[in-house]
Amino acid sequence: MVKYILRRAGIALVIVLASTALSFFLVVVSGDPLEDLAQLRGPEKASKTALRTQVMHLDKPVIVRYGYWLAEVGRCLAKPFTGAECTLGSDRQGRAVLPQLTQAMGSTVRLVLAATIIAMFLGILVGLVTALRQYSVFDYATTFVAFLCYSMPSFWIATMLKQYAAIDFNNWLTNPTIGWGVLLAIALAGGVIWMLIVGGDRKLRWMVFGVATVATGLPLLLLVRLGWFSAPRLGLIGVILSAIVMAWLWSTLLGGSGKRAWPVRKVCAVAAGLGVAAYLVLNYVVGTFWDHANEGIILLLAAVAALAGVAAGHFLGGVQKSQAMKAGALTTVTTGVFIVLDRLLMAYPQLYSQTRGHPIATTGSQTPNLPDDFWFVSLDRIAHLVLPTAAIALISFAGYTRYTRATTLDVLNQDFIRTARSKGLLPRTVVVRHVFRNVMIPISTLIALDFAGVMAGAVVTETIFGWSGMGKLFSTSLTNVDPNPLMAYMLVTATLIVVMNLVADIAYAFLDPRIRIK
Amino acid sequence: MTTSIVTPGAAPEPEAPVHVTQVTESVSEAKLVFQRFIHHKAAMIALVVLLAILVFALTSIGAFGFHGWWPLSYATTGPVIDGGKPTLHFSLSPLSFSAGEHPFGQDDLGRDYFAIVMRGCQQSLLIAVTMGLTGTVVGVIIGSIAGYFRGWVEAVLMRLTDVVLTLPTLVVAAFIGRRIGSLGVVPLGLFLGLVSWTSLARMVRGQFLSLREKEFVEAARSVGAGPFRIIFRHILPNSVGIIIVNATLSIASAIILEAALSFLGFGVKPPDTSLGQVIGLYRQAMDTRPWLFWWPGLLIVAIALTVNFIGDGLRDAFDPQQDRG
Amino acid sequence: MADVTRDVTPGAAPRDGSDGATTGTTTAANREVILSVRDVGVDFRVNKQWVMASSAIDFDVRRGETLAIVGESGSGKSVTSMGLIGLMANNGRIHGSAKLLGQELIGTPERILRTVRGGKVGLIFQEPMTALNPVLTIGFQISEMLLSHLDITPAEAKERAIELMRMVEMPDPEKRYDAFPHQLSGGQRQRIVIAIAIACDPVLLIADEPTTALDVTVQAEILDLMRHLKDRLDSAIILITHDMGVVADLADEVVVMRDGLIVERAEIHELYHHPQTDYTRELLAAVPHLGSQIELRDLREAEAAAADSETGAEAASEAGAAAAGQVTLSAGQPAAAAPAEGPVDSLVVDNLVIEFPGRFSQPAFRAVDQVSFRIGRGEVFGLVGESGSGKTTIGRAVVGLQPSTSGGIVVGGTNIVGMKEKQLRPLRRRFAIVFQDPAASLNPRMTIGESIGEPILLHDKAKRAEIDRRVEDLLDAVNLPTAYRNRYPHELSGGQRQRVGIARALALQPELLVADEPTSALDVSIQAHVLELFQSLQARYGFACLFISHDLAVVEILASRIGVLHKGRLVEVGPREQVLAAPQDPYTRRLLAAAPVPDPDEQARRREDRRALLAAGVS
Repeated sequence: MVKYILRRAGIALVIVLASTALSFFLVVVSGDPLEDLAQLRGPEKASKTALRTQVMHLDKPVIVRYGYWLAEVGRCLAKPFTGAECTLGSDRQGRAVLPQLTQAMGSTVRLVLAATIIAMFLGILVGLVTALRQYSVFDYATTFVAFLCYSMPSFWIATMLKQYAAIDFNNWLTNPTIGWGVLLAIALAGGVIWMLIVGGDRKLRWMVFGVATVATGLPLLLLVRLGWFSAPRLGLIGVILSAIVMAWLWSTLLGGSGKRAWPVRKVCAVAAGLGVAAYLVLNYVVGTFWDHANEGIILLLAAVAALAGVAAGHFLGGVQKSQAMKAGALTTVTTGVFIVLDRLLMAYPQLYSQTRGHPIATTGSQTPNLPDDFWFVSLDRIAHLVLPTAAIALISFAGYTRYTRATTLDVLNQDFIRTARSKGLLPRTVVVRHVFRNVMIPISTLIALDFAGVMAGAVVTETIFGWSGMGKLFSTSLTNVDPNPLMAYMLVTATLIVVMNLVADIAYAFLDPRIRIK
Repeated sequence: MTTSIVTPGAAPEPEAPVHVTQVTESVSEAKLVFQRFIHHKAAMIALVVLLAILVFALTSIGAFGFHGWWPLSYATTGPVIDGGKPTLHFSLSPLSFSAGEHPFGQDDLGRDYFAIVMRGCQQSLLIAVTMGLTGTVVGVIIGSIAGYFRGWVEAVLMRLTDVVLTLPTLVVAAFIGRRIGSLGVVPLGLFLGLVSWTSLARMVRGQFLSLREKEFVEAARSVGAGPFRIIFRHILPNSVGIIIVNATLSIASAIILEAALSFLGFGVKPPDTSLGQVIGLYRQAMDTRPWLFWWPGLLIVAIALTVNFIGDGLRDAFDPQQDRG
Repeated sequence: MADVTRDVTPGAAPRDGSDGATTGTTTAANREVILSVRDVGVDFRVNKQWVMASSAIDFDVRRGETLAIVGESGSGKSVTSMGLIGLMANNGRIHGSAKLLGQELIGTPERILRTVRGGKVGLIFQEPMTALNPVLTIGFQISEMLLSHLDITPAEAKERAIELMRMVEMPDPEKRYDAFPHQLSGGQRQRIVIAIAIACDPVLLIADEPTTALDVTVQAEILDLMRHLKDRLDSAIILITHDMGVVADLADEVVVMRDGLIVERAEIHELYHHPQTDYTRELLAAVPHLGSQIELRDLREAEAAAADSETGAEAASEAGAAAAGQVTLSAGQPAAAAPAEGPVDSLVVDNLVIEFPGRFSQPAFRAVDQVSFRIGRGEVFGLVGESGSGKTTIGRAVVGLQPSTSGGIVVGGTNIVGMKEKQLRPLRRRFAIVFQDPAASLNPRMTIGESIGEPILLHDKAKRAEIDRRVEDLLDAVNLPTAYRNRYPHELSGGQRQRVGIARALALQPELLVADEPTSALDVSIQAHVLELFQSLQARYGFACLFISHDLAVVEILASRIGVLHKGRLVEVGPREQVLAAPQDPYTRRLLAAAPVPDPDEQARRREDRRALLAAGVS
């Protein structure tokens, strides 16, 4: 296994190198760095031309120029060891490229990762469900929606989101009311969707419809009436509710049925309790500590939560120890997500006033001149991320859904699923234990391929939302025929894509014992 | 005591099942595929819509030297009437429809937007088809060579494909477009096709790998058929389905790619127009003059959607899944 | 007219087979009825119409008894049995009554059926290679079954799973518990599938073609296992199969199905000795029966005979060498009967070695190891072996599809090993190959005429009219209507396609025809016709034939000389009579002993012999 990883990593390195060579070629081909000087007249032209030629080595052959660039990169890679100055070259105006790159990378990497994770998660989930409910109305509807998303250019989606999800939504937020007609429509839609997902016989379907309609409509009504949208919070009640739902969800998926599930349910209940306790402690006991958290602390807390869940499963899981540990950890961590969400939302009123009533942002990757409050800044960043992420994720989502659906249908036709059914296992167990893991194996290859598309999507989306990210770096540099920033962009892009490929390869080997064990 | 064959039951009632008999009629596989495609409702509707768009785009303002029936041209400027608002009216009660002089409105130079959009439609379609077909041809060639010859040839070609895959298509297209964009629509399509062969190459290679182990290919080899005959007479004809489906889908993604490219400014350059370029030009006007954004956008989505559905219908026609109840 | 069941007369003579475990099987009629099926039918909805797959199915299965449901493909045997416990495709429906120990199965809600599946009814499927989930350990897959039906802890489940693995004779169960399916062989995987099926002590086992995908020797072991388990658990077995040999080995009662209906039902001896319907008679006649051409001897006698025969001395030394585990016979050794006439043999294989290079620092795999044999002009040579023996590799190498590492393949006087493609091409008209899978051996995009005519086009470069004429002649020769020339493969049945394959192979009138398991993928009745055709064609055209098969009975019908391959080595070669009646090599003996014979009495005797053979440690 280790040999496998090392070998893949070695190949990856070579591919990145070859990719930079190809990129350099493309950069050179794409335009003439001296073209804007063609308009000038007189002695200025000659001197400027000569200067630029010298700085950019335009008199040397392409290979040599590539060599110069590689040397720059080498210098940067060796920096930890030599401490030398490292700029990755300079752009046309003579400014160092590296600082521009690092600044642009931050926001773009956030965007790209968020979009990939959301698209993957939702896409796989929906794909699984539509395959299981093949030929149902839900299946057709989702297929159509997926096709639609697939057929819309990213700038179109982005612009529409900007208009309706941002501007119009912001306008609505100034006076959040909801008409009875709209409320009814949303509630019924919720009911229908859940009914189609759960399926089952007639009685069950109508029951689900009824419950889901009420469950969608009533809380929505309450929230609007109570003015929740002006100052959203989960609060203690919200966290308790989410903890209970998470506990129920994970214990149902992983626990089995009937009496047998009892130990797992017990563990999940305990885990939920731990989560609520953590909430209370963080917010009321160590309030200032929580106020000054940062990414690192949150990750640490997530690890602690997972450990606590595992411990609960281990000590209280009884006969179902391994399932209990998994379910417990999942419960604590997902409850933790809600706790973090709640704290973020506490910063909302501040955000609202700071952005003058435009919380969902349409421009830039963050609001400038914000006070140095982690939660505030994070919420602001998230608010700025929402739309661009949605724009990219919607397109990726379509791809994941279709692919997962096709793969799941394939797996469902396999012999071992018939064997599993012949054992008399619950359908739920067959899906979670037998179908899901086999579906994930080929999906990991899709992740790698899709990521390139996400990077491309980022270029367009950043332009529309006015982000100063890598997309803008690319656009501007290409328009101005500026090789060094362009090459920096290509280097980072190629590296990210190759890394994703590597991660996918490793996941594949990890998931598939036929590769792991000869 | 005797046992005997159970005779079939009495004459079947309406709901009783029928016995399956072997029907032997000579139906070639192409015909079967065609019949399955016709029965795919979504694909047929999409086909009709796409043809309608195509006919409209070509005939309204004319193409290839022919004059269309639309009086206005996309190039003549003029006075801007009523802020350039569209004059298209449609209402259900009373049922009335009038196109007016400028059904899609006017741009800020007073040019008729309908004509511009139709022209853009023609150009976008032309690029997309050129790009799709070129990419398919290149992909098939590369995939076939890699899949048939194996060995180091395959390794080199596949690594090359891997390298090209590390560069997002849009990015590579942007490089090319910047240089070629001004040369015209067809050259742009050609060159873009030259860099978008990767997925098709992989697919064709996969097909080759699986088909070359099949007995009928071995039978041909054992009789002494050479590589050419095997590739062109045995393997490729059996890959036609996959190739056509992927060619169609790549046309759909080509439309979207071209739109994005022109939107960013690296695609078709003025005075030539395309749907993406038009949207890019008027992107800021979304608030005040939404029609400048909506009409070309809707057309892009419509074309891409219909082509995608047709591709899906073709896929089902070539490779039908289990019959549903 | 209703079908009438032939009652088994009570007090019938006990069946021989002397397993020593015939607990209560004598008074079969008094045994408790485990499953009672009445008027069951299965329909499928195809193109908005309900199509019958089976109808009016009645049978009873008693405790301790094996009921075999025999039929060819399309007879409806599988879908009916699967349908009884609700394992049908979405577009199927089942009606009628099926009572398992008094509990009605058809129409019961799914959650009750789930308790029945696995808990009361165990299933064994056909394809062991794909029946297990590749990402879960085999031990877990057994435990899963236990945990979902019994109220026990995971630790207890693991213990019982290991016990089950021991019961199915899985070596080293504790270590194997954590193995993955891809690390096991086909036979081992099938044992695990059986372990899963019997895990909860079911009263009924439904085995759907459980040994079809397995080698003959493995098949014999699995059948033994199933018999022991049935006796031990005192359960009933429904055995679904098309293989009459397997039926003769295992079944007590037989039901014959055709096109969805039961055509005959009888106790096994009655069925074999007094079949009542034409279809059954045809079916029985069509099955290649080991010993049909030559007289097989009791295997223990055979050993003695071999020792006594005039080649005894040589045979003894051969046997000695065999005991040492290595037998190589050089071309022209006297024990192999000299070929008929003609100075130039059609095929001489001389010390052939074929190796496949290993991947990533794994050693090369030797598929064919120093194999030598000859085929005279017009002679049919049967090459027999199980999977992995290298027989297909040899077949392909002989027709130039597989490069050889060393050694010689001399076809009609010319050695083709190491030849470049250009040199080989003109020689290709001298040999031809018929493949196993009729579905894959014809190009779906070419008409039958084009497929058959391809060799003529490539070598004789004839004009269209002449090609058509010759194609029509060939179609005639294989008993296909000439009008099929313009049809496509998908319009033909399996048997018809195989005839086309044969016609194509004969297009250039080759000297040597290689037939790689040409009838293995066909139904039994079709198989017989194709073999008949083969015989008549061989007599008419006089080509030599390398007939590759895993089925000794088929080889017995066609071949005059037989070679036995085991793991790449030719362990025995000789005239048919000698190899089958007086085999020298212990592997050959094992192979012969394991091949089931479609006659229950004889099969029972053979089982005894085989047991003795294995017990004597001659393996």
